Amino acid sequence: MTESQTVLQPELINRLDSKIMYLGQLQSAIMTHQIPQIYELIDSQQFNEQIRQRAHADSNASLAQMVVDIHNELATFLAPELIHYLKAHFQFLVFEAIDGEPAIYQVFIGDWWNHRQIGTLDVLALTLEVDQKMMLTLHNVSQLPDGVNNNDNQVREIKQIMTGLQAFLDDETKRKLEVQVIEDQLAQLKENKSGLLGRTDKKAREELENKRELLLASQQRVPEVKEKLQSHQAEILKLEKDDAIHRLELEQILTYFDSVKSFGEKISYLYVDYLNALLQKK
Amino acid sequence: MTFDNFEYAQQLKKDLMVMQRWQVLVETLSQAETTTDILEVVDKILAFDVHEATILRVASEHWYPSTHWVTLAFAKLASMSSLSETSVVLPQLQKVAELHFAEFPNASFRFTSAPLVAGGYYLEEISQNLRVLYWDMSRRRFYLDTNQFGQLVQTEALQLAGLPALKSFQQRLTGIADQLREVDYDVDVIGIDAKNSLDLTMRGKDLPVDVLDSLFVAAAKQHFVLKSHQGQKTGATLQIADVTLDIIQNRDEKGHSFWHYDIIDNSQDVTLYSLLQQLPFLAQWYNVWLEQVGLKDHREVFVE
Repeated sequence: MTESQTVLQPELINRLDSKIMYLGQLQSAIMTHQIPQIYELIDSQQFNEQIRQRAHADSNASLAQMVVDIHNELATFLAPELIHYLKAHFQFLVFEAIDGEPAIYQVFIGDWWNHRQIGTLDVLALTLEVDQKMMLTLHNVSQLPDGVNNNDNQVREIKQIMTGLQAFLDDETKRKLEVQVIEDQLAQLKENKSGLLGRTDKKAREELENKRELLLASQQRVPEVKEKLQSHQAEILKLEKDDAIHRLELEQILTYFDSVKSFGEKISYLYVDYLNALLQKK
Repeated sequence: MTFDNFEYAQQLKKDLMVMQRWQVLVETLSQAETTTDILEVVDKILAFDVHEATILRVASEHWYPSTHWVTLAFAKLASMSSLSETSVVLPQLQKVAELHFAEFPNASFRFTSAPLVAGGYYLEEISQNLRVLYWDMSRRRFYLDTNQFGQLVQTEALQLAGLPALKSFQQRLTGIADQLREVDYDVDVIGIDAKNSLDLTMRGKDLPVDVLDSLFVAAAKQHFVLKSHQGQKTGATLQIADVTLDIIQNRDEKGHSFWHYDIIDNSQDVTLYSLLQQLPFLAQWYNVWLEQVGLKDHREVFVE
């Protein structure tokens, strides 16, 4: 044994001891179902600062690094209790596991058709990251007067355009008949072409031909107009779907919270609220 | 042209014998009490009508077309299938009797000939000109026209009569269908039997996503919520008071999706048609997407 080895040995032993102790504590916490302690062991700095209210606590990141390879197993162990808590406190949220990623859950708002993902739950970090853009939209919708939707104006405008397009299509039969009448009149003029009243006939023929041309050009637009109508219909459906979803989402949030803002705040306190709730149960 | 009096008398004699047979047939129809007897005699009447007694037939104003006798036979089956009264009315100057079912005081029905090579008859509501069903005695087929029956239940005449009337009418049709099934008819009256409201197959395959989105939006406007189906099945579900309307996706062997309705109603009172009658938003959606979401029926016999 060299001198340097002798000098380093106690430190090495200490470090090994602390690692062994860390793993032992984690094992014991799991065996005794001490969930707050598990979270403490995963990130002691956050736990001490937020739960014990100790400012500038030390980090145990180097120790916690040892169990990174069993994070999935830890998440699988921790998730049921957490999901149970979340379902009790946010009845309208739906949590869907992601295959192969037990630490991450997709969080949806409501169980209706087209329900939207509002955020992502990280079981180990105890965070529910919400889509801030969605929250802002919901906040804005909540400020609208009763019975008014976000997209009402747009829907109204598109419906106006559609009324015009539909009127154009409804005139199809009329246009066809007019073309037919003009064809007959042109045929009549051709029959009467005996040299008499030549100039008047020519002018009348030209007018009729121009009119026919215009009508036929309009007729040619029919498929394009039909396509436009369909696309506007799809556009309206999309806008109305968004409105319906916003309405349902807001309705659910306001059933349990005073405002979208307080719902967002409650979510942001998940770490503290959840662990305190568990500690109080003890 | 010389008139052969003797020959004419012989023809009359033949016709009188035919008429005697005719009288027996008509009397038998009026007295028939079983499905088999009714069907047998109406078969003979229809055959008779087509082939015999030309002299008297042409001359008589009391000669009625085949649709009239089909109406009478159907009235018999309808009476046997319901406690609600069925009456047969022959309007003045008409050659075909009308059917009146007590449950629908504002509606009247009649049979018309189907313009098909196979023949057969349509039962239709007169004022709305909407078909209810197709009845083919020779090939033993009895099919509901789901499109037009779906429209009929949405008309004012049937809406005024209300749900109990529709229930009674559907039970009547179900009763007739059961009678015919017993004598080996091919029967398809999908959707009218409240006791068999599962697995009602839709016509369309691979529904565009807009179909259910539209229902979601239409329902939400009326404060109903179309939800994703929870559990083993894929699809959507709509809760309407105590009734659940499930719209379920299935896959065929080629990988195409096809859909069906399940109506879950513990009291077994509700059918898809009663939902269409009671829920205008559902009816409107059903009408718009009929080619996809309409019930799968025997469209081949329903000439538009």
